[in-house]
Amino acid sequence: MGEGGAEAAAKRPVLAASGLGKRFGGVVALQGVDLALYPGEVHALLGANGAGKSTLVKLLAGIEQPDGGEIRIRGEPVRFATPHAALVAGIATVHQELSLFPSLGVAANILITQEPRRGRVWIDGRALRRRARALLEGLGAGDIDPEVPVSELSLAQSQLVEIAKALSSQPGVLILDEPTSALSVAEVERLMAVIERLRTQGTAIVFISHRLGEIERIADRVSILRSGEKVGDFAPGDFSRERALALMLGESWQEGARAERAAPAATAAAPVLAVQGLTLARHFAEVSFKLRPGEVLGLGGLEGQGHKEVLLALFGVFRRGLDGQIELGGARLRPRRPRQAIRAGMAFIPDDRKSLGGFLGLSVSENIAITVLEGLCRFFLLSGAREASLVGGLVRRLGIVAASSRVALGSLSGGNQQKVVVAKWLARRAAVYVFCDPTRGVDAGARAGLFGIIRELAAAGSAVLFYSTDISEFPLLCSRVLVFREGRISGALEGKEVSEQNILDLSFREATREAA
Amino acid sequence: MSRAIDPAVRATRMPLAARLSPDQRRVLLSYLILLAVYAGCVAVNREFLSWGTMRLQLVQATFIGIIAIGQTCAVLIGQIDLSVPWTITLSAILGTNLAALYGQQWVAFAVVGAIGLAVGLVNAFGVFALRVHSLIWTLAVNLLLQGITLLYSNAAAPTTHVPPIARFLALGNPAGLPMAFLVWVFCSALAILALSLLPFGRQVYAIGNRPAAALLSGVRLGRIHAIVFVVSALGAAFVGLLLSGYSSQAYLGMGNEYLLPPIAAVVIGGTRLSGGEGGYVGSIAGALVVVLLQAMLVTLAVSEGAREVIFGTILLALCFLFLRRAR
Repeated sequence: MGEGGAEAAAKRPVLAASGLGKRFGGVVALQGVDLALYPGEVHALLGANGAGKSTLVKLLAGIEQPDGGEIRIRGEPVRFATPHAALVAGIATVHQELSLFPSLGVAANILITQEPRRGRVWIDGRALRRRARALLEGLGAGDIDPEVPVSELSLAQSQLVEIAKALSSQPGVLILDEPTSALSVAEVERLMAVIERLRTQGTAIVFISHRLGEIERIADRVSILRSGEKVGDFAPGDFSRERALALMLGESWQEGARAERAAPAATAAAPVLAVQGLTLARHFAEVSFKLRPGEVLGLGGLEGQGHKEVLLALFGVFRRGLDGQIELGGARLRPRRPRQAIRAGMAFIPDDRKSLGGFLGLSVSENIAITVLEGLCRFFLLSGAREASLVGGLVRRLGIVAASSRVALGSLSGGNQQKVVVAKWLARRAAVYVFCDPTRGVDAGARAGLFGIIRELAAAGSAVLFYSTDISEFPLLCSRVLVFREGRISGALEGKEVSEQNILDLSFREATREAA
Repeated sequence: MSRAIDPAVRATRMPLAARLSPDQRRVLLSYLILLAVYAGCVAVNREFLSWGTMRLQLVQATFIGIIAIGQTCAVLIGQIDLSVPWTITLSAILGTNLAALYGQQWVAFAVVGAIGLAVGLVNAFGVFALRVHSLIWTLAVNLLLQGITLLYSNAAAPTTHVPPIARFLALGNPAGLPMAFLVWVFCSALAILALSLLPFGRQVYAIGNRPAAALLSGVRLGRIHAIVFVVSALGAAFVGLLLSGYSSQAYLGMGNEYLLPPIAAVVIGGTRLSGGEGGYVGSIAGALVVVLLQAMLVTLAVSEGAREVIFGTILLALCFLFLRRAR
């Protein structure tokens, strides 16, 4: 834990919120939450998806207005009508979804709307780049060229640019909403160093992450949210992983423990999916494997090794350029669009449930029914009764928590949204389920639920292809893992060989001939 | 979510606006606006209480309402169709001329069908396959149709003979009800049914909500785009035939007044311009609002210029009311 804790506690908080509450329609998103942020301290917010972290951030950042309670900055009560008002008051936020302009340069992005002027009218390009470079260097990111368009940066670099942008207004409070969820190990290291540096400069930092290791390492104080309420907090130095988990998950803690179970065993049945010499220029080459019913096959490796693209290609996302053979259920498949793959018996659960997996503005029922519309018809008209019985059954089976199946998907918590995205494929009874990084941004409880579903699918004889950016998930789930390196299978692991260590070894080793 | 619920019924059963879904609230608002506008009409001129006057308004609203069917669908999938005006004119001129030439009434309907299909498919091709923004593409197609219409009317003398069936559909009065209005009721019922109870409707909302998620769910985006633009062009072409019957002639520029009012009807009806939310139930109220506003301004003794300015201002204000809520 940080050293400056005791000294900082003596100071006045830079921001103190008391009794914050927020309702959305009939749903209480946040209730009676107190929060005090001290200069030079990292304050972590922990909680399951839907616990109210995002709502709290939105209230602090001026995106939503609280229904109850008050926010004081250096003792003065404030109300933020707009995000800009919060920024002016010294609260800068880096949201999970980055808000950069891809085609503008790094410097232009960092200082957007506050460009240095010459003669009050013209943008002073030189001063712009100088100030941007100074801000980046302050983050230890002097290697990022201020003139290059943001679209050419990696995700981690873009995030540093976003932080530099947030710091350009010299905020007293910096909110980082799940900054590490999409970063590699090395990139997380770099971000941690940046946070340390900001802490010594006296910034109060709100840090949100699902990864307890990161919180143990960086946070001075920790507040735990559950179901919109603050259920506990830790002062500097007394954080405990077990107590945090118990507080965070409540009764679903049991479920979380159950996720850590052995992977299902492979079966001897004939393969349902056979891929031979699959090649897509610039992405992957000569990929061959067989997938049997009841099997969970993992595609592992470092990020950007082409394994994610293999899954997308199988689902027909790439229209052109695909070579090699795919056999699904004994029939040749040449998917040029997702519909063809779906009709052949494939299901695809993407990583981004908000923009790819589901329709946030449509109801739970409409989201689930979309894959089976023809089947729900009587005399060409959608039958409300058939839809209700299908949706009702799936909602019960997956334990989806929603006020009713008529509420918008967007009103559900993240974990439940993910379950709805899975439910729409269960409605089709697919033969092969492709899970493409399904746990991204999902909390421990929801992850356990999802793993349970995947195991059930396999036990019921479906075949599962699983890809994740979190290598620790493969040993929990997969009976076999193909490790990718530079677009090729560099090795296969089976049974007890499936471990984090072995996957990492193969990720770095030269390609071998042992591929399945 | 059921979008086809009659808001009047809903309102009496559940007096609390808070208990309505956002969708239903938007529809309710459209009908409240309709009530307010009608009250305004009556306040300005007692004539609006008479059936004779209202019958005229219903016929006018039919033209806008039928075009608004396709426009509602187009807006729901996040597009817009600006090729309506010259689709109307071309269909009217070509339809009446060819029907007179062959001496057969059904020829006019064949022309409506052919033009609707052709224009719709060209629009869908540009917007979906070529990925040109519909604002640009359909406007260009409108210009193209204008050129074709001019070329045709230069070559062939226009006829004054309008098929009797077109006159009956526009001016007929069976059982004391305007025939045009009955046609509109029929088309409206089909539109509401299609959007709420056909797989087509679900897919329309899915595309408007998230095109990428729709693609990954197996929605046939190309087919839905084609259907939507064909429905829009068919509606416009059919209105062309109705208008030729209504004014007993087909003439250049007759469709020019039908570009903005149907779009205004869709927006006032509560359909989101960015797609995915709304429906035709509201557009019906929207069409009536637009027509009543126009009629009210006609009865006021103001110059045509002033009338247009007032009409434009009120439309902007109403659209603002909805666009502001959408943010």
